Amino acid sequence: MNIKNLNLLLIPAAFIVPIKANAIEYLNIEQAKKIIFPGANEFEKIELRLSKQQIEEINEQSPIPLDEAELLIWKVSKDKTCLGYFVINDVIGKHEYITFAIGLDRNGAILSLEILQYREDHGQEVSREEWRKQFVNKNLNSDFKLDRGITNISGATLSCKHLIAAIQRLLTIHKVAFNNDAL
Amino acid sequence: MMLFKRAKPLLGTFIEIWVKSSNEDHANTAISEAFNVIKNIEACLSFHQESSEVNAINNSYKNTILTISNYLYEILLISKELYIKSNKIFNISFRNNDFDFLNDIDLTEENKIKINKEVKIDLGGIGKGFAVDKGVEKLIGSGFQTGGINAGGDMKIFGKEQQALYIRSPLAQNKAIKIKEDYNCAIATSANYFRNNSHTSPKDPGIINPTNKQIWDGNRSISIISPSCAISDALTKVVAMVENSLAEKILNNFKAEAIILEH
Repeated sequence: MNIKNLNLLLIPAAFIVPIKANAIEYLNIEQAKKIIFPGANEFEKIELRLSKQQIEEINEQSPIPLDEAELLIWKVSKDKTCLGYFVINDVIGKHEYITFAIGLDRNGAILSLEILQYREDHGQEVSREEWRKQFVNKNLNSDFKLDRGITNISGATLSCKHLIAAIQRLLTIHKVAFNNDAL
Repeated sequence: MMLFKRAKPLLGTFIEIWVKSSNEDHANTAISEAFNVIKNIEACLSFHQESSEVNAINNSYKNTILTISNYLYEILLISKELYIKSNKIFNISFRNNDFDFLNDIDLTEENKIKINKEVKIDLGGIGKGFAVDKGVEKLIGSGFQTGGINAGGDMKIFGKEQQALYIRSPLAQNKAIKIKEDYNCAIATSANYFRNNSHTSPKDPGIINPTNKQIWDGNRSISIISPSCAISDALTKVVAMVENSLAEKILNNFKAEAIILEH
């Protein structure tokens, strides 16, 4: 008999695990830098503050609006030659919180993307500030790890369309606001 | 030994790849290579990317012979075996198009496909599972003894240590059911978890029964455990559509078992 029918109401409680706030940290920022730009030997933090006009222009073209003027960007070089940019960004959907790192080449083409942190939450909503606080303000190189909850779940996860939209938003930001001379 | 796990968006979902290793650089290099395998498979099988090999088949005239990649050739052979051993319930035809696997295309020559009749195929029902299998092959080939890949719920684990497997509850997306612990196996699950949720639903019409062309609208989840994620992926659709006695026979053909969660 290789078909098991399980009535959900009769499964012992010990086998039912809540996924209230399932969070995992995959990589910290330093690990992501090394993976996305393995040959680089300089990461220069860039202060890029967008003007109101730039934000408006970005929001006209981006699939999702930009809700902060300050971005985490590093200019990446190898032996003084610019390889591109390393950007940290996050996306907050209805149930998912994702912080990701993306490597762009000098022309804004995507080199690679890594998810740094992922949290699926069906309980209380977390604001962007609270989400960022546990990560950014803990010293970017800290050993802070989320890793709560269960892994190895079969059955559809949430779609990555919000993440894809956030990536499109970043590419729009690059087009509007990255000026190689200024950076 | 530490656990190294990374995630990327691919195949329209989140893919997690993990291995146990004592060397971070070796682990991350191998994980990157496994992601590249999945990315390459996505490019060749995608129905949505115009330049994909699948679209080359779909746009070919009758009597064309195409040279195709190892991946595509292999997945077509697996699909053909599934077609035969599932009494033609598993079919890679796109939506309601008719596709006779035994006559419309010919796969007798390695890495070649002969189009006998113009076809429209879609490997979405097996592609994710196949990509997981190939990614795991890459990890094992790199020498890791324990690890796994989870592609949006289609998963394969391998190794010398048991790993726990859960299935998301079909009634409450914030709950999961612990099913087993195992060393090596694959699991795939079909259900309508998020289909009515506008923030997650793709434009997928859902699972269609090829014999009566109706959309399946069950309120349960079906998980298939087998040695291959491609088989598990494909059989979730098949088992949903047939009566138990035929399902048992098909599952036996592939050394698979089904776990149905229902209310």
